[in-house]
Amino acid sequence: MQMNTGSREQSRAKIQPLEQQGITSGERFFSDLVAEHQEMVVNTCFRFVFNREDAEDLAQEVFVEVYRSIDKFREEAKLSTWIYRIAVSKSLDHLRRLKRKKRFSSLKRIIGVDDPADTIAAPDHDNPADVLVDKERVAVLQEALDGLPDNQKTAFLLSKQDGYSNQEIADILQTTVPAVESLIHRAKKNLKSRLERHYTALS
Amino acid sequence: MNRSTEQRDAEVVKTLKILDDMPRLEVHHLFRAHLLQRIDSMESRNSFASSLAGGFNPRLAFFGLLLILNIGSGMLLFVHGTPQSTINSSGGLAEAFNEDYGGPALSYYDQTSADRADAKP
Repeated sequence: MQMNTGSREQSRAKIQPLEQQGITSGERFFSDLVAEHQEMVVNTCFRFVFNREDAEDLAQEVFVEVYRSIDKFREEAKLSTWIYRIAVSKSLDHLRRLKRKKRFSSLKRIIGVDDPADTIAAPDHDNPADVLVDKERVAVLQEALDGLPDNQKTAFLLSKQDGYSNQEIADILQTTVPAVESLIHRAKKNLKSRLERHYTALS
Repeated sequence: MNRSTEQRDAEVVKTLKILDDMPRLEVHHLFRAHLLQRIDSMESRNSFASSLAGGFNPRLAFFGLLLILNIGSGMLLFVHGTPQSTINSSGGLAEAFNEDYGGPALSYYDQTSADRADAKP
């Protein structure tokens, strides 16, 4: 992999403290960065999208973005926090796109135009979400989560993932720890009442 | 609390439990290789675009523009010149007609014989 001279210089300027620790080139630095954070990024995206393929695609986009804008990284935040913030915003963007697509496909169904892509089922194998109890329950949960505001959803989902402390979630959301605690509490309450409404309507 | 409420609450608990039971994904072993490949191709595309932009020579571009203008004006002259030549040829035809019918053989009035008649006393 080759970095062009300009971006390499900019990246190198940002990673100077790391170079003092023995990291000598931008390429090596980036490769190590990916190795260090790929699991956390993929799992963070997976929390949001419930699908392995989408999670890995999103994680790739996250690292491409990291590569492109490493020169914009300000050292007032931790590098990992910055990367996870990109992962969260990419995942939220993906969910918004899905929502728009869903709305559009339901509109198409109303006017009688079916999108063949909608009827193709996602492959079952190699998708841990499908190993979970049942797909229907996952779909109900996803719909309930979709109804939450972005900051509540993010705080709640990150709190469910190992490796994120409330302080780190606060850094990602650029807020305080008490605010994160409040967001998680409200998200739980909101989610519970949404699910209750759903199961009451069913029965 | 009646039975249906209990059942509903149990469903809610089970659904929320999905998040706790979500497995931790192991990243595909080719993830990093794919990523680096993607960035490589992105970089080569970018360098191609920048080499195109970097290879821009204003002098060459100016000569190119002059050449295009030259060819364009030549074509314009050619396109506008074609009807003119028709007019010219029709003009030549008219002249030929004038010469044919204005010739002394076919003229009603012969200037030299009239002059001669005037000269007689």
